Amino acid sequence: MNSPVCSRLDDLLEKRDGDRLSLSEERLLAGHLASCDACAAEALRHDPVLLFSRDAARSAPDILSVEARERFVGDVLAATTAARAGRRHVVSRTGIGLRIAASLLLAVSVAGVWYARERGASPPPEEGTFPVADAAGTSPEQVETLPAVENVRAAGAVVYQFPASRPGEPTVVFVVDRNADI
Amino acid sequence: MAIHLVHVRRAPREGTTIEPRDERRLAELAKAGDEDAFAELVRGRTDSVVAFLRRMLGNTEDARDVAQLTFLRVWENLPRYDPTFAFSTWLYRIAGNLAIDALRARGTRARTLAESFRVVRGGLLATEPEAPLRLSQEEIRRVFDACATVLSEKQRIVFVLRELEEKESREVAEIVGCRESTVRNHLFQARRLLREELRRRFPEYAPAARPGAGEARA
Repeated sequence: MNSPVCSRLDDLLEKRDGDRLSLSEERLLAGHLASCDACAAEALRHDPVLLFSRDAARSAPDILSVEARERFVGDVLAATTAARAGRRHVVSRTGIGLRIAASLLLAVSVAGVWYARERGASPPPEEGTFPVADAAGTSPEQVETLPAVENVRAAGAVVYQFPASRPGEPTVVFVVDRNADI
Repeated sequence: MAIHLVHVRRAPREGTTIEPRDERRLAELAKAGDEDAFAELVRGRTDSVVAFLRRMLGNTEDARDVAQLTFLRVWENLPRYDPTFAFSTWLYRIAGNLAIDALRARGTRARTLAESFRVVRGGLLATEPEAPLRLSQEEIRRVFDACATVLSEKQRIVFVLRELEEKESREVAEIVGCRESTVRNHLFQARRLLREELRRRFPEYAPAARPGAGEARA
């Protein structure tokens, strides 16, 4: 022990135990332990954990070669590019999805408007009358071809007939049969 | 048996010459979409991040993988980077969190490897028990990896940052996200546990302690 720092070793080690070393003292201690074997041995007796500390634990193999570092950087940049592309892909897929949804919404709206207009174009049913139907369950278009009303002979059946008021209009006939097996 | 601390002066590492002020500027540029600036940041910090993660994880391969993930996270989160903080603090926080995740994910495996190392190492040492032992960095690292399995993740990250990465307690507190007093507490506990583990498992590396030495409370 021949350096001024040697005589301060105990004090420095004690401060280190309490994590009270200033930055300059830390550097002083580390530098001194690197150059003074006697103090290094003493420090190790004081606290074996110093074995791991400071420059003792510096590990040269961790330092990558220039080639290894460039390869590492290249890998990182490739990963970020892939991540960015993935994000764009997600964004574009979302965009397509939105466009499809908007188109569907538009189509449904147009169909709804068309349907509403179609319904609105039909004359409102008069009171006491109902949409054309027939006892046999045929479609309205088939009403014209129905047999004559007088052919309905079911017992208890009531026939309502609404003749056309002008040429081209159909004659509407209702048959109410409480005993019909529908 | 004499034990010598092998101190190796820290050689300037290639690729780590970027000043903190320049890092902030590069981070700002990268945030604005400058890929070259981001590449420069990665290049400048690769060595230190890999070394830190190597100490945290005890495995170079894992350290590189997690380092890569760290930089990817950095890139993803650049829009949220607050330049009032040092870029390195932010970087170490991300790396530390990922390291803790990795440690948690493979806790059992690390302990098993450490135990097996104890057996092999004991056998090697027995061949030359009286020879002066000059510990290689590789061996110190392996002893640390074996002993550090007794530490909690927080204790380990605080010890690594404070003792091995030589960061100040204030910066460690910023990285870990706690108060300085908590850092001191973790550091004290980590040293105590490591000391005990070293004496228990590697008594040849832990000379007889002076009464009360190293036991002071923060």
